[in-house]
Amino acid sequence: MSLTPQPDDISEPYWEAARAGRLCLPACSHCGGVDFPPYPRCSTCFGEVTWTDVSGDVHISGVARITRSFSSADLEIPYDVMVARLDQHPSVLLWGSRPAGDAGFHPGDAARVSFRDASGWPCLTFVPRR
Amino acid sequence: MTASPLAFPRPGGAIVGAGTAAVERPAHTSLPRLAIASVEAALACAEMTLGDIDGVVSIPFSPSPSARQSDGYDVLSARYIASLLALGDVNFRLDLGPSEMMIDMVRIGCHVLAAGACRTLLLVRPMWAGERGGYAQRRAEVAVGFDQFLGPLGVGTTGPVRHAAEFSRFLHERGLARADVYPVIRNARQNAQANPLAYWRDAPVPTLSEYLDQPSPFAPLSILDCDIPVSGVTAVVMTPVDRARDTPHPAFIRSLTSGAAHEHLFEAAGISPSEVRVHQLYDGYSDLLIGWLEALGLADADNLGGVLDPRNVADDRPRVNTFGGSLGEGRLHGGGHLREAVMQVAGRAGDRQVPGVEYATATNGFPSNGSAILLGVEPGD
Repeated sequence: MSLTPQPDDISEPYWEAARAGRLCLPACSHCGGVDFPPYPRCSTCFGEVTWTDVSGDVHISGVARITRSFSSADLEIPYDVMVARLDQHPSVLLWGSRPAGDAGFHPGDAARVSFRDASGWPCLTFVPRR
Repeated sequence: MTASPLAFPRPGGAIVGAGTAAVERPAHTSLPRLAIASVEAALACAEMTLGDIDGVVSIPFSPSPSARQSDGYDVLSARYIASLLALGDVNFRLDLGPSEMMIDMVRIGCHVLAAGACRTLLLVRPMWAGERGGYAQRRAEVAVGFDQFLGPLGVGTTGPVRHAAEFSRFLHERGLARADVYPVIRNARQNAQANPLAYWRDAPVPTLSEYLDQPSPFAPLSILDCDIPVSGVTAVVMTPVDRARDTPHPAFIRSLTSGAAHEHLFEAAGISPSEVRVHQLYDGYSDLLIGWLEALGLADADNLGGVLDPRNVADDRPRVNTFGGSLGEGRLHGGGHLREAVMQVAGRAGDRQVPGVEYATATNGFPSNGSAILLGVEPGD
């Protein structure tokens, strides 16, 4: 079993960049706000958006360890779910997951966005940053 | 583009009856039968009959990922309810969507009554957890919309998995430990023992060490931090203020807030928070209750032990979730919170009655985008 994303005419630039290992998000030409998940227009001021590569530097805000399967996602049990704030756009929360390892994240850790392959799709995860 | 938040100082309208006939897990009664019994309970409270109802609002949506969303089984539409109760052609009928909860129904009910679309409005929130009553697994293969970013991560597919990381963030950003959340659990489970409907009414209150040591499939959130899926129907009867004065136990709607406006709930009604003795705060997850205490300006996260103490009945401090909350009663999606607030204002809460109640609050959902209501024994100026 697997659970794969179905890109649409809003999200296509995100997935195209993610395949190349880049974090690309819609940035508002008017107020400069960045949205994730993406909207067709800025969710703060309805301005036009331009898809822009942004720094993947984050700080981890929350971590959970999942030890039972609740879904058909392509993940071995146990795995960790992380929610993190982008350093340069702290209002943006990003979600990631990774197989549970010895060196798990803790809230407050500095990290960086990365993508791991899951059933051929780039799934968002984080790697430590020192 | 952000509009200024609205608080409604005098939305007009009153709740004249509320009832939940039964809370079951696993369910041994069908959802339509549960609905009839709950509507009869609400009407008995109002000393009204089915013939008085000329409007129906429902939320025909089941939050379980594996729900069939099938009318008459796990959901009940307003159209279905009108037929179920043999109401004929009612003057007003409306189905709300999955984003709405019980207090959102009341808000819309105020507008419907003020517009004169009907005179006696029945609000129904059916919740069906199924014969097994367990958490559902989803077996989809393609994730679309927002879920395309979460589902493949193993995050978006069921509530507690996603909320577990949010719970971790909630603690981290406030400098709290899990032990600091324990008063929420203790208050809920202790108060549940005085609520005949509560799923956990006969269960012992978990100790702090039992709470901290509870094994969890989604740590640091534990199963004790999550409300338990149950089957049950909450029914509420609303009328305009003038008609409510002729009923025996009216609870008048003094103010309603949503989203960023919660801090205005009390001033919108022209009262001080200290005048409110009893609060029914949404606790589908334990940390939401703490968030509501903050949003309403009732307490800081570092003073929970004093606020969430069932022994407060002995003094002047406010009581919180006198019916046990969702964590004690079960997941009625805010129905229990509104029902208990109505009962406290009506003086009909039995053994749970807080003496001298003039006002009561209830909240539903997440503080960031949920709804709050202030009820009073008098309609106000």
